[in-house]
Amino acid sequence: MKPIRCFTCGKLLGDKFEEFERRVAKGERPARVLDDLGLTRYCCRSTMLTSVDLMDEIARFKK
Amino acid sequence: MELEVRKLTNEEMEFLLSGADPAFANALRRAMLREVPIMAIDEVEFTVNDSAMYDEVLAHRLALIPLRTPDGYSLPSECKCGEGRCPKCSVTFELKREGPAMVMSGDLKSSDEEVRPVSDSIPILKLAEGQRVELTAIARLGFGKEHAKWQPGLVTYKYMPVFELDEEACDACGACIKSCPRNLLQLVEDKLKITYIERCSMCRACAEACPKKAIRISGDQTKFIFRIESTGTLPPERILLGALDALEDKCREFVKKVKKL
Repeated sequence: MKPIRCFTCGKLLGDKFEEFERRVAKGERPARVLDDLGLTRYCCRSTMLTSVDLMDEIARFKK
Repeated sequence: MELEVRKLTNEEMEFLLSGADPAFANALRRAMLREVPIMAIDEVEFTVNDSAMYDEVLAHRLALIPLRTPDGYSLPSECKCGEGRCPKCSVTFELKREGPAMVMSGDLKSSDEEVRPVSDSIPILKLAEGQRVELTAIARLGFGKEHAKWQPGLVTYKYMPVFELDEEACDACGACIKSCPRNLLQLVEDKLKITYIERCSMCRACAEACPKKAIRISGDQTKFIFRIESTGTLPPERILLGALDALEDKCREFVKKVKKL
């Protein structure tokens, strides 16, 4: 699953991934979208850019 | 001591504190981070969890959801119930979903309408076909010094930058203007001027670039530019007031102890 908060500063990011991914998939520049989401610090920006959701992969195996 | 509020919104506050000193400014900052109680999920009871996520991981994710914190709740340590489970010191959230579904923060059913997630669209857990999750989460007041989930936001300050120019040595060559990463320097009628001094990060690139060593950059240790960024649990001015209350209480208690000597 995507992180709920920024690992470094604790800002809420969970509710921003949907918009970020939708707009980037449409071809917008990630930097612009991050600006629009109000993410000014590089900790939050890198968390948004580098998080990979592995939930579907993990769900295939037994807990 | 003077306070000048520069910006105030529901989530952000910027103010200039002047006539103070670094020790006081830092005490204020740390009190805001550590001593202002807010609500966060503290205990989770699982009835069913068929998902691929372990109980502990799910409980941790639930705890990180910022909750709006109204007045009137008492600290579990000071509550008469003594258990941290009564309606005066705790709020219960019920969650019951069956897959396939994306469980969102909005699916949490709170026992108090006023204590609810800051945003309803935070994905918590993905459930595959046939998987179920059923749990009760208990939120309580707590302090940032115990866990970062109880930190009401981010508080930073910096010294007010001071830009000093030796006007006799300066020959307006412009080397400093090119060096400034924030483009704050400019020439006005052949005289070097700094615009928006508050935006200066005090990197001293201009001072280093100047061949005549005419620029001196320093910080004014009596003036502080504060920034409070709330996670949405409390409005920023309430974070400031809460910190002042905490500092006041600490001082009172200390005075009491000293007077007993």
